[in-house]
Amino acid sequence: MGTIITIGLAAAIGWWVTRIISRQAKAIKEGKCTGCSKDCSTCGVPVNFTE
Amino acid sequence: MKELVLAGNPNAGKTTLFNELTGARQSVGNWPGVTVEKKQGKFTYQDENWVVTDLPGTYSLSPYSMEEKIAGAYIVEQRPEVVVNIIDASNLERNLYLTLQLLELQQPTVIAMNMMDIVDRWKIELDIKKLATKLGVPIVPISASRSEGLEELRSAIAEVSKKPSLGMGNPVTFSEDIEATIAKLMKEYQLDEKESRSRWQAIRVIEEDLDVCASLGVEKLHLYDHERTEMTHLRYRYIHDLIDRVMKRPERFESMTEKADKILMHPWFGLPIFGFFMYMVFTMTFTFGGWLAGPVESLFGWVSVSVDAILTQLGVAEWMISLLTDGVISGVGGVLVFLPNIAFLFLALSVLEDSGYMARVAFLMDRFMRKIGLSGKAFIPLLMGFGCSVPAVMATRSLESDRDRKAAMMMIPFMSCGARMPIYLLFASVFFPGKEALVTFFLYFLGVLVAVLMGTIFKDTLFKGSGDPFIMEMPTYHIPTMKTVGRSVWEKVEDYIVRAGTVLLAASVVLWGLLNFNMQGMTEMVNSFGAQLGHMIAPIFAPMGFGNWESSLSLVTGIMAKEAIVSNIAIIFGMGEAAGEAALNGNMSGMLTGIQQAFPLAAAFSFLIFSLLYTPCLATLTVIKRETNSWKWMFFSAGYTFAVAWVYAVIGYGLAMKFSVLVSAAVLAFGTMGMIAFRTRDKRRKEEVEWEQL
Repeated sequence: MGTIITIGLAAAIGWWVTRIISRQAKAIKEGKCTGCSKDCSTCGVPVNFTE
Repeated sequence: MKELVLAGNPNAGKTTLFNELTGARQSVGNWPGVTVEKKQGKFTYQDENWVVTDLPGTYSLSPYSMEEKIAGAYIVEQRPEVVVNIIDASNLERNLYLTLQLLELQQPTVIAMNMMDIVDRWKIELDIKKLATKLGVPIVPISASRSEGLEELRSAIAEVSKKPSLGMGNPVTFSEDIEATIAKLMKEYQLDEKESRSRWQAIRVIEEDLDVCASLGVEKLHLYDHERTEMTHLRYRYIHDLIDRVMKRPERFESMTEKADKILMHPWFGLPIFGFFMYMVFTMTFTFGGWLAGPVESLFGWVSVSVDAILTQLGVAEWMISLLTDGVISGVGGVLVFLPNIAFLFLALSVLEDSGYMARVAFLMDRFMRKIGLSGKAFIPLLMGFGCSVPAVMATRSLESDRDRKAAMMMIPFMSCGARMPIYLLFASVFFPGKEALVTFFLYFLGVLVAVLMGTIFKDTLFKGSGDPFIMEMPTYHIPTMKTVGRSVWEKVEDYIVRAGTVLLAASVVLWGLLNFNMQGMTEMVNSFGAQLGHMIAPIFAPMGFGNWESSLSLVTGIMAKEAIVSNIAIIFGMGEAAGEAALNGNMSGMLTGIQQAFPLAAAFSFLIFSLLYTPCLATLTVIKRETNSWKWMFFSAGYTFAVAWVYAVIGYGLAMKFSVLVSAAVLAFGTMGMIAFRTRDKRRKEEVEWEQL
């Protein structure tokens, strides 16, 4: 029982951390605020109108 | 789907109205220029679907700035069903200029007369019916921030969309000469008289809109300078006459805003008053936040003990229990414990911003900024840096000159962002009990001073040149609304929680791994990868008094995200021997004991200074790279901030070893101010000499 829960927890934490790291890497690559899924304009960031 | 365009002066309340109409959550700032981009949202009214476009705020449609050109061209080219011109009723004279130009576009228009509550408070009598008759368009009085008059506005929009003639308005008729010129131009460039945009195009030729001139094939410019000046003059004369007929002001009226500004914008007392407000903000952050921090801390302690007990009973491996309790719960909990303080900090800052006060701080700083050769406008991104450096760096896009943008970008990392607050909260409460607000105030103040000092150096070396003129409208003071402040605070709190559950959780797991493993497998913390790495870099930090591997490792991981410093300290010192019994009992006192043992008082002081000034987080560096489109500036920012932080922290440590922390802080602050004064005086002298030589 203990071993199964340990493996389950390890898999869940591993999956979560991998997901966060890959999302962060993607956000950094795109030049977005890390950890932020919002559009930059929600923070009042001026974006060139013509973009 | 029908289209509705929102147009109006900066800070007239367009974004608030946009949010009200569409239910969007766009950021509303009580300073002009929050909307520089086009935003779109949707709403449904009486079974009709509408798309709402929020244009950037402009004072006119004259072709002198990008926003003005784009706003006018967008309406003419897109031909929306309705243009809603939002007007600040408390500043009618200035707002009506844009209105007249919008009427010249000959598109169905509805006027939303915002801020009527201020007009009532000022006891100004405004005859809206008469104004609507004169302008020839429906006018709906509203108060966007209080959601008043919105149903009437939607109804007027629907009505005008069904019967456009109701909103076509009475554009100003210019003098005979000008009308003749317009007619001549329409004929010359074969513009169809029946086409509504033709007259506008002819007017744009007179106003020398280069894009329109190019599209029509206009070859010679400066032919209509006299007509252009005359048109502006006539529009203003029309506005004066109109206001005389529809508005009655009380005699010798002085508004609350004018009275308050006599004190708050005083050339000598303005900045000390701002300093006092900020000190009060920090006092409130520590006092009120502290009341709630206790229960949150107990909650995490209880969670940690419960998880430990349940998993042990279920027979889960010891290392997994350690990962969850010492790694995840300690790391994430160590940061979330400060959530109440952070919420109070942003609550206070949002109140200051929404009241209209923060916009004045940028104005107060203009004199200061101009002395260092930067525009006061550059202080707005710096102010945003108090929240987060990433949007602050991006906000430098509002600065016209590339030189000013780069200089501001290099200064922003010194502004104390919200992510650094947990470090101050932790260290100030451990080492400076009773003086937490003062210590935090000093750190924020030192950050601004160092940023300004670097600005003076950059403007003489890397980014030579004088600042662009700064024109900024001061918003009227008003009592902040619960909705705007609540939304702003919630966004920050939500962001803080999301970061704790994502970036910091991942960082905690990675750090736990570093602290529990080495090449031979699982091991004691002192033999771990983390300890080895910490020992390797510790000599760099030794001159600052905290050359232990634990703090060195925390600072390195802090580059990932500044809050991670606190997470890492919570994990390292929570797992350390000093934690002892207290940590096992599930509270933070073990960790606090560990920190106290690792840092002498002077070292804690220098650690705070270093944390304030050193290399910005990875997200900020990435944005600097993207915004400058250069690796060079990214690496420069990372390197020079580290060097500046190192120098300041070493000096701070040296001073704190000899004097009290209070004296050391004063010496650092006044020393930096002295250097700024010396540099600006030196610069003035150079300018005087150059002038004499000329």
